[in-house]
Amino acid sequence: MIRKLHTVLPHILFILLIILILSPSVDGTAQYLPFLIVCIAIEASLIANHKKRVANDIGIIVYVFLIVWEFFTAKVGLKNAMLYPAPENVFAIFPKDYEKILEGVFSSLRLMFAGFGLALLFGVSLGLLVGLSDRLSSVLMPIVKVISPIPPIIYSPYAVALLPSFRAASIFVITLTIFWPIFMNMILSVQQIDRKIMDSARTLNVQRGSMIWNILLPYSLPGIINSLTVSVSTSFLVLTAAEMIGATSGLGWYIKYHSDFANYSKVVFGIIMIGIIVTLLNLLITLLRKLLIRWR
Amino acid sequence: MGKISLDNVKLNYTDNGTVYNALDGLSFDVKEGEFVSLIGSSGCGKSTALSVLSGLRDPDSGTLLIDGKPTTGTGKNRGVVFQHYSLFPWMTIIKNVEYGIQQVFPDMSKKERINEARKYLEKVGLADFVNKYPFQLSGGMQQRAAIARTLAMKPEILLMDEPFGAIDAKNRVILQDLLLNILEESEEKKTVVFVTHDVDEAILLSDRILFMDQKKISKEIVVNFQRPRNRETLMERESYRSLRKKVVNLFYYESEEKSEVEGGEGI
Repeated sequence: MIRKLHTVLPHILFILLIILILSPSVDGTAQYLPFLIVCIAIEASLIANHKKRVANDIGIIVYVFLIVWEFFTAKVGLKNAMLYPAPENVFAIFPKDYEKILEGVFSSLRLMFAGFGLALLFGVSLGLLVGLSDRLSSVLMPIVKVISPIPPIIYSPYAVALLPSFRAASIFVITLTIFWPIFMNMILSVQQIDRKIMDSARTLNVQRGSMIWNILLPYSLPGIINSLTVSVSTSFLVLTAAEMIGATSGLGWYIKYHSDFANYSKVVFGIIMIGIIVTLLNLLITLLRKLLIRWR
Repeated sequence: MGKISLDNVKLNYTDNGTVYNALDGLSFDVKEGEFVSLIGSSGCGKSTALSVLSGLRDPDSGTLLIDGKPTTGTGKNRGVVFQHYSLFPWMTIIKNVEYGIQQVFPDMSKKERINEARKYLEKVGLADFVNKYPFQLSGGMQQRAAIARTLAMKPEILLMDEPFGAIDAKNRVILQDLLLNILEESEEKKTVVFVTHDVDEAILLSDRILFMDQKKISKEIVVNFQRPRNRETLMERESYRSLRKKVVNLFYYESEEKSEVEGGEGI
């Protein structure tokens, strides 16, 4: 009985939410259509995943949140309506402002990918170099241990001032954020490579170039991808924070700019966009992992 | 002159500042085409001896001669099969073998390498598993693939470090027979040094068994059974049983003596 209730509860909540949306709202509430579409999209994905119990649980939480949000902002009407935008107003931002938003998203993503590319390039190659040389690693490791824990975001105001453009500054800061974990990971995996693998490679008389390409890199790949997973969220945090300081585009700028004008509908929408993008980036990495590491 | 000749090889290793003796004046010769087993209780230095032969470790003093030439480091004339993990987990079985071939014959075309790899994998009964990754295979099958890779590299000398030590009894017998057959069928006779602590395995496979104790060779027994050998007919013979008894006595006698000295460590 309770079980059955549990499976239908999210759908009951969905219907409740729809009724709530369609009932009259307080003045100043925007068109409800975009919000309605979002709700239907949530319900559709819930139905697609109806066999998973956890999807049901998540659905319940999301709907309860949306109902509370919708009820107190659009139906009851809070005193500081400007500070608490109704979901209708938030989701109505997209059709109104999508050019600006997508431009911001792409500008942020371009910087991210540039940073990722550079960090991978330098992290992997320098990590290999340092990991392979005992002398280099014993000299550099103490220095690295001092520098690497400094949160790279600290550099951003200085980098903005120092480097020719904001683009260059944020790429620098993002690169640094992702670089350290990859670099450290690479050094460790080269130095602590399984002796059995190393012995096997040595008895095959593997030459140095092939040792790097066919043994050390594939051996370190899972570690690199794992550190990317962690870095995605932090680097996005660093980027948006940097955008708040000195950019004229990007999601961080979008949120900061509109909060200066007290346009909190746009602020909340920007926040939601960031959540969506970080999730998509994480999915991309999961996909990458599945594609590249089929051997365990 | 032997194919392999170890002369008074000494090797130490240091752990936390304490120096341990790993090999203490190890000397023996192996003739071309001969199959020699190194047998002894754990800690006697037999695996270390093999790592000197393979070139993974160079002796602190004494010499390793191969074909009469002083040798250090690994070389293409020697192929090694370890107890665990000889295969690279990120390469499929056939890629593992092909990669091994590539190291020895860099001028061979990829197509030739793949054909060659397939041929050797068929030989060890893995024709249907060539595109699997090592983690998808059982320990026994992984070991077959490792043997195929080593053989495909056509080394003159085969060094095997307890290759069947981690495999269940049934598959172990199958693999021993497989190795016996492959070696007897191959055109040029391989020189083999085989580390084991299994008495039956040693007798079945070897021309000569060397006993190791206290980090050097203590005794040797010649196994004169005719080749090709067959496990069933061999084991029925009286001469096999008496030889086995002799080996077992030697083996356990050495172990007992050792356990008195070192307080039961070993066996």
